[in-house]
Amino acid sequence: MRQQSKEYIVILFIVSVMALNYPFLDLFDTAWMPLGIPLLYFYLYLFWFVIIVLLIAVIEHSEVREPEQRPPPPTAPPRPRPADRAGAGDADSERRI
Amino acid sequence: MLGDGIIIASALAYMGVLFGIAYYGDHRADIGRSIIANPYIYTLSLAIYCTAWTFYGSVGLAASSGVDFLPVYFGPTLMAVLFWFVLRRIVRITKIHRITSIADFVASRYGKSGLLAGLVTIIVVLGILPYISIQLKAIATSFSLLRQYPEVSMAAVSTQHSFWADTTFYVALVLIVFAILFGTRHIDTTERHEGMVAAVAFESLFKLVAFVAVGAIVTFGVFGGPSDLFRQAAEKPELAALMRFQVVPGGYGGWLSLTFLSMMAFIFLPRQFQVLVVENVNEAHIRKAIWLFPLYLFLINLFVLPIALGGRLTFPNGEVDADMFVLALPMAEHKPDLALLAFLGGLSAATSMILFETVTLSTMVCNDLVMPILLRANPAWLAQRADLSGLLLIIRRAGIAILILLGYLYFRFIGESYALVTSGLVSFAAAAQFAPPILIGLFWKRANRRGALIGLSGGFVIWAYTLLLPAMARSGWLDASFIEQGPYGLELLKPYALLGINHLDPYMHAVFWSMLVNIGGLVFGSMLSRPDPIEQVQGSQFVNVLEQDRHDGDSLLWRGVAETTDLYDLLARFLGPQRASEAFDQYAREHDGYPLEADSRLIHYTERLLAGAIGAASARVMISSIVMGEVLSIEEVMTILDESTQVIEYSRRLEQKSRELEAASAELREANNQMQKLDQLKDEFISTVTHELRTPLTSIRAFSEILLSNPEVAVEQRSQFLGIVVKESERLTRLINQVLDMAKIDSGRIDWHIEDIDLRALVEDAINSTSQLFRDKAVTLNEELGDKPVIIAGDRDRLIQVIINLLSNAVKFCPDQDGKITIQLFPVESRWRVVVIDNGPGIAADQHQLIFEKFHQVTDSHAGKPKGTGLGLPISQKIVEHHGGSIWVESEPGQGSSFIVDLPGKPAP
Repeated sequence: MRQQSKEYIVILFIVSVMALNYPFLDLFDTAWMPLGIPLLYFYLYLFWFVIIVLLIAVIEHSEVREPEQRPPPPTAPPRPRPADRAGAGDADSERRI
Repeated sequence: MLGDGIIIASALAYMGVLFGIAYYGDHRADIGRSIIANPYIYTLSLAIYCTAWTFYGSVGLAASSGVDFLPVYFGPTLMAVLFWFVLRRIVRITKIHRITSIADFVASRYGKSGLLAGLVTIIVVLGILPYISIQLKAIATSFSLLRQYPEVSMAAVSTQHSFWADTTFYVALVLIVFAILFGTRHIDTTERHEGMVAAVAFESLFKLVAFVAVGAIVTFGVFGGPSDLFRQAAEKPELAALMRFQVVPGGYGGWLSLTFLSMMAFIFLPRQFQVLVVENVNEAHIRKAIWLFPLYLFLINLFVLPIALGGRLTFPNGEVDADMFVLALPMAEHKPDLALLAFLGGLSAATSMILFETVTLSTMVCNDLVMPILLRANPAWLAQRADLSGLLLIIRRAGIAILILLGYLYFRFIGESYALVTSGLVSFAAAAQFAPPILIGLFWKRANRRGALIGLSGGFVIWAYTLLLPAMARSGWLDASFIEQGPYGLELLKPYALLGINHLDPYMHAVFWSMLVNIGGLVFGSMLSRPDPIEQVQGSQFVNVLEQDRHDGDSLLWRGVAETTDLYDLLARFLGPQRASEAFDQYAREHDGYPLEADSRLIHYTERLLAGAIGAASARVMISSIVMGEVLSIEEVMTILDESTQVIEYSRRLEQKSRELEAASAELREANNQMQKLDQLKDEFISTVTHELRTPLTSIRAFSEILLSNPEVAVEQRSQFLGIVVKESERLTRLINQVLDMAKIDSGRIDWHIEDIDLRALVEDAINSTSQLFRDKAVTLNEELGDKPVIIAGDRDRLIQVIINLLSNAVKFCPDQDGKITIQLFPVESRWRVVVIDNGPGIAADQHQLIFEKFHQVTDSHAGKPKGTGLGLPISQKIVEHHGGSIWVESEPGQGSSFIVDLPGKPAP
């Protein structure tokens, strides 16, 4: 992730915490119902949705992809173990059915 | 029509589908083609966060407290924003250290402390029981509601029945069986359950579809869309109040603390930690989940308020518990299919939580509580058992059964009287106790075990005192008076108003005090105590995980040695011989075999594998029992890791550089000395040459001037003078030629004319051309040249030059009287040897080499002043060496000298 994207994310976090708490919420605590929806509900859900949209914009827009993790080593067929170690002779044959 | 048969059959069918998915997921994982390795499945599995609490409880809360349910989802949304900074770190650490649970994580961070792991496990078990209980309650209540269909009425509370008549009890039993089948099929070294994750993802999708379907049909089918619904509700004053903030208990402070609690619980609830971190297949999946998961939360919450208000409108007299509106509304509308879908959705939300939570918890209980106790209490008994993997499975299965049964008991005796969300919050507050040790531990290197122990236990005690005990008291298990008056009448210790702070709602109050004690304990405990080496290593590895490339620094902690066989046996006892030998094969493949005497890398490898099965702390105890070695001292660790490493590394490099510099300057000094010596030689040469040049020049000039100024010089004398001039000129020419020769030979620009020559004739020619010298000094010459021609390949002129040089040298150094020179020519093996022997003063042994150096002249007091140019012998040496021969001198002072020239003979034709 690019440095700039990281900065956007931190800013988004701070703004979200502020917008979803007092005193911001107090602004929307009225009996008004725009589009027939109580303003408090409307604001909370709308802002939530805006956060998601902004996250999509920042994350999917940040072009520099982190290098994918190395895939696990291919599971090669088990090799017979040296016979000198005790206690596993039968396990060996059991394993290669 | 719905009957018990149909409901139970569809519930079992649903569980069967889940089991099929889980089985398929495990199968795909076994053949290495994981179906969960994509960001969408990962995101859906995170939605295990949405339990029955979300499915039923949110509506219940919204019906009485308006928007109060929302912080529970804002918290995870905000946390998702921070995923890249927090979660990625945790995931990276977990993968590197093979951490299998949250207890393991805390223990690992603080020096693999068994005590901490145990403490975390105890907190988790106690903290999570209310949470499990609400799932059981939701299943049982929804079942008993649905079976009344078409009548919509709340069933009588189950405490009036005995166990055997209680539906919830049977639900618990079925879930125990299911969880055991799901989660403990075998012991894995990584504790990952791909099949379960796949099933959870499916459940998440299912509950989302079910909830949205109910919500959409209620909003648009029963009512005329959201505006119609809200308008109807707004007409009733008690419902209009739900649209304002004032109904939220605790006000803005409660809102904030709930957001914080959910943020923390979202990561630190054991099952959340499991799906977020342990089951994460690829760090890159986190990226997509950052926005996809909040979107899921948004969608599943979209219809909460409409359903809540719709329920209040439909059941105005409170005849149905608001927690069950999601189910009751479709029933009231006579939509049995939708009701069944809602029931199954709630079932899926509840079961996924219980299954995953109990499997995760049982692993923690086994690894971090039971095994360590067994290891300490009765190591001898354990040591007798060859294969412990069976024992581990039994412990885990028993753990699952006990946890679900405890959850059931909590439900039956404590939780029944509480709403779903209220019980759930108790669990959230418990999970939030892990936030300080983990989050602070991720960023603050000095946080140490003592601090974490103090903080965690302090926070836990406060949590139990302010939330758990009051809940028990209210259910009649304790004397409820201590809530109102404080224990023993101590007002300051009232559990909902510690130290008299009584304006906060109970949750905010508990969060405030427990976090204060927890963080304070961690910070001050860490600052006042000194961490031991292993804590420092772990701390520094955790904090620097993203900057670190070298991941096996941990292996440095084992300095001792162990027998590879011992390690193998140990592993086989816990994992079973088959998995152990697979693991060792894997190691051998990666490291080109394994040593018989295990090194620190192999020990560490075994420790990590073992940690996967029995936890980091227990693994360390087991390994240290067979490793013969000591733990590193603090100084050694400090030199290996931590900040000082860089300083040490830096100064080490500096030292190396200065050593290199020193060496370079020594070389320079040496070279400089050489140069000075050469320079001195050059000076000497120039003074020699100029001296040599001046001597003949002086005599030439002197005699020429005499002849010029005295025209009457007698003819006899004149010719004598002219003879001197000529001789001196010849000497000059010779000198200059020699200098030029030397320069030519040195620079390799000389032309050699190699041909077959007669060495004997050549020597005779040389004698002839120097015969004047012999006569002048009255030196007798003995020739021992044999009588046959000696044919060799060589440059005639140059070789004559060598012999002449040797002869004239010999003459020069012969005594003035009785000078005697012998020249010999004879074969030595395949070579021809020319020896020139004189009876001069001889040469000291230390000069034998030096006389072949340029411009070197024997300046012996006996020898008087130098008599040559100092170039004759060096030139001779070069010529002889060019012919593949050698030249040297044998001499002792006072015994004369022999100059010997060896030349390779021409092989007989």
